[in-house]
Amino acid sequence: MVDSVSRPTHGLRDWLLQRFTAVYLGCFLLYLMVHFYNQPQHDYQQWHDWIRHPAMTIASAAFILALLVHGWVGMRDVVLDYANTLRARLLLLSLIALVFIGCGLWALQILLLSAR
Amino acid sequence: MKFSIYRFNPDSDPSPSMQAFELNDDQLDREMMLLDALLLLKAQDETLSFRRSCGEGVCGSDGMNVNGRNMLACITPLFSLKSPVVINPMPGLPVIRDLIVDMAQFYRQYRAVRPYLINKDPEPEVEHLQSPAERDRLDGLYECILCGCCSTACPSFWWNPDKFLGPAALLQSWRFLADSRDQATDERLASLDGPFKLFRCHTIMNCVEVCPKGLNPTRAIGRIKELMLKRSM
Repeated sequence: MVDSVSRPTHGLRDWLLQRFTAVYLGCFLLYLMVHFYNQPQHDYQQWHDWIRHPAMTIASAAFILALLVHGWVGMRDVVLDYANTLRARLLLLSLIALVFIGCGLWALQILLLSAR
Repeated sequence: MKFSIYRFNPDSDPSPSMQAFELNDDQLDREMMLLDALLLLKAQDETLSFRRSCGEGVCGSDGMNVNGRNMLACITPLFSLKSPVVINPMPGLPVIRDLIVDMAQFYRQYRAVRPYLINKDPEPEVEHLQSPAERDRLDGLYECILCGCCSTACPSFWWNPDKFLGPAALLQSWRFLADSRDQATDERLASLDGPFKLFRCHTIMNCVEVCPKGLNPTRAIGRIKELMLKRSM
């Protein structure tokens, strides 16, 4: 048996993460569509009240996290398919990781500021 | 009927080229398979090289890419093909000569899934018995003739032929995972984890599209993932 700790990456775990996050992203987007259909016009105060509601803050944070995880598995798959040298893979994965971490921190900042 | 066939002899040709061939209508009949036409063309130019053996879709030797699609020449009716018939070697494997490809990588991946029963019990007096239902689970799996049409039509196999096992080997992996007599399920599944061996499959389904035996490697790969999931819970 291969020890699970010694495996460099987990194919099944990543595959499942991609699917679970896809379901959450789908549900959240559906909620957004229903919300904006029912209330097409938002002034700043309405928008702010909606976003700073604790449930919405948590759901948005989970959406950002799910989006980043989903995107990471997908982008990693693209890199593993098309970049065939270790150097190219490391370079591309590092760049993507940097962009994703940057986007995640930026989104976190926005959420924290809006929840004040 | 016109043909355009890939020619390459690595010993003498600087690069591959396409050679035009033609067969007169009086040489053809409605029952002919593509392999029959290739044999007539080989009579015109005996340096034209391709593999063939049984001539009836059992040995899997004459897999080739015809008008952009992998198929077995011996069971492809000639008149089902659009003229000019463009014939290339199966993509993604090194060419030894003309339509003959080096299948070593393909067989390495096949060997990697340990395509044989692993049973730790003492040898029984008679056969390892199966119920009819258990035997039925192997239908659609054991029929694979290892022609390589599926794996060489798979983009994931083109990009990572040394790491991704490919649809043919994964179909065989599921054939032994699904076998009630096999006792190495955990070892087999553990050896398939990681991002490459199994999970490079993106359900493109070229394998299903081209399999000359009508098998479904994509479904087999899905079953392996399901079993992995069940075992991990």
